Amino acid sequence: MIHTRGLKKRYGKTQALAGLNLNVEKGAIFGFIGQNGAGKSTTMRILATLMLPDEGEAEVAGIDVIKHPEAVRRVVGYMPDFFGVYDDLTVGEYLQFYATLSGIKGDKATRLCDDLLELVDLSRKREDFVEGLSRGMQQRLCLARTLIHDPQVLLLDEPASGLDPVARSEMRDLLKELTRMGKTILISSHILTEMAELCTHVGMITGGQIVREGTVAEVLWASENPAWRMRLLTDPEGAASVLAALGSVGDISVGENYVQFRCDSGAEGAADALAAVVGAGYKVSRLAEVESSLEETFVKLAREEVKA
Amino acid sequence: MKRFYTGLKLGLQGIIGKEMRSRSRGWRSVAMLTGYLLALALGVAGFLNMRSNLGDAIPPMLGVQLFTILAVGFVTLLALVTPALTSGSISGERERKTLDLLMLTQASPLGVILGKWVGSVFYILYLLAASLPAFAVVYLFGGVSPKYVGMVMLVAAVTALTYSALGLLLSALFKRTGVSSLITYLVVFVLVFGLPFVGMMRMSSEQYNYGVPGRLPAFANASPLPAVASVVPTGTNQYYGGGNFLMEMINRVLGSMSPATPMSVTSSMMRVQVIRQINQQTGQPEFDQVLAPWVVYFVISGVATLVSILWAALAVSPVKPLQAWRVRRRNRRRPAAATT
Repeated sequence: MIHTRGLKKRYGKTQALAGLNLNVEKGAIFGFIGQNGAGKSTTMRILATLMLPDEGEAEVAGIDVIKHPEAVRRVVGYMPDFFGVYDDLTVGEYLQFYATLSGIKGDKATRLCDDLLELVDLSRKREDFVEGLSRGMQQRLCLARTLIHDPQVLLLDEPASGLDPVARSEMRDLLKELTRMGKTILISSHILTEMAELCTHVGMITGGQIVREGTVAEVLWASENPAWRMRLLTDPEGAASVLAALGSVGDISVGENYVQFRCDSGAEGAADALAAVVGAGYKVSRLAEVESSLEETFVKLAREEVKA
Repeated sequence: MKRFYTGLKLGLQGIIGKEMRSRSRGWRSVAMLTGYLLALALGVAGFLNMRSNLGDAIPPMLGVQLFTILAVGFVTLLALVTPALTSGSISGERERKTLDLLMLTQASPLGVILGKWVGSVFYILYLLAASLPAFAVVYLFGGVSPKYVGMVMLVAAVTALTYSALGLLLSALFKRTGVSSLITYLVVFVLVFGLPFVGMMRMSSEQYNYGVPGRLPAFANASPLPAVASVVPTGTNQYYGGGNFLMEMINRVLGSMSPATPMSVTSSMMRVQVIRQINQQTGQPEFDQVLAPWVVYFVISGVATLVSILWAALAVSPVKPLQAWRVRRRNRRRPAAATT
């Protein structure tokens, strides 16, 4: 549904995108993960036809964003990270305004606005002025605006930023509802725990390039050098000193009844570590790979990027 | 073509409705209308007071004088008020972060710009209609045909259309409303007062050099002042004079420029001959001798309005045609491997 090839964009001396390749399948909720300035918003703005790349190609629903921006706008709904509202309009007038600009008029527009307000749970606020809405309500209203022309693809740049936990949860439910309606969603957020729960696919972007892409499980699995946790019946400090003596083991930490470590050679190294500890006379009750979270994986990648 | 028409239509429909709604709410529009009418009323009252201090007798040309003063003041006031209506139109959208959202709709950038412009024009028409009662005072004294009122209204309308388009353009070019407003007013002051002033200086130097009054240079006709001076009933300059720069300027403009100046045909032809000689000596073109200042002003204003609106539409368009062409050319030049 969304494809980019070799997308490049430079702002002065800063290379925002350095040949970004992205593929988002139809019906997916694709989480775009990256640090501030990694190129997430730039990619979204290019896909939304609000900006041209310096080089490279991008397609949304099979339509070239550079050659046919007007056609792309018909299939894309974009919600920017920072957006404004017209303070002097009521909620109903605000949606009606965008409906008119999208070529929807009369009873159809009124019905559509009612449905969208119902969807984002703002029906009772129809006659209120937009400036009187809370931040969460304004975010939901902006999402309703994004949906006004029934786009196939939604580009949501930090839709949950600045929201309290309840509003975030409501936004998450709303997005799930939208995928059930068949929308393809490209979403960026810094709240990675929620992204892991919400998204079907994720892409990690650093330095203007996708460095890891796939389903959440695939991305986590692809994380190299996972941590291992060894549970001991007694004396975890002693076991830690045995592990420290092994050259291939590092990043050792000691808990109440366990030792956590990383091995350069993956599962084989962990087996060697287990043999060494058992051989030294310590009683091991369990050895397991620590399941890393999306956040840990991302932080690790970001650190590697800084080192590089 | 159909897409162009649809984009234009949607922009006009959506934006005009929203602009009218926004302008009918809040205190700003009310304050502007009140200030505008107060300024006009004070101008009329001040002039009448000044005349009454000179004596009890009402001079026969008082109506014409009042009308002339009112017309010049009215057009000047409109030239100063209208940019305020548009100089924040686009930069305000940008500051509010709503411009991107407008550009994502099916309305074209030209449709959005035209919608903004027409929305402000409607408000200006409202101001024009509201100022008609001020002109009614003139009819207490008589001497002014309704056609002159119509012509002044036309000059005022053209001024308003042009200056609102100019404000819109500068609002599209500058990101901050404060900066765009400042630049707009600088440009307006240069256009309204600067050009006639420089023109007057040149006329004076020509009079000094050749002994006859020169003509206002063509560039000065970009100001609405010569245009409005050329559509008011003239022959009244004998009543003017004495110290006041604006009065003096109007006097000079009326005396030397207006096609309606009550000169005899012979004296007019003699004047044309003298001007031709001056033009030949100074190397100035002759084309504007045959055109009344208001005609030249309308042509300049029409072109300026058209250019301003098209330029503003290009400035707000997120995908510039030339830029898109460059990207496509770069992509064509890329090695095939890079695109697969």
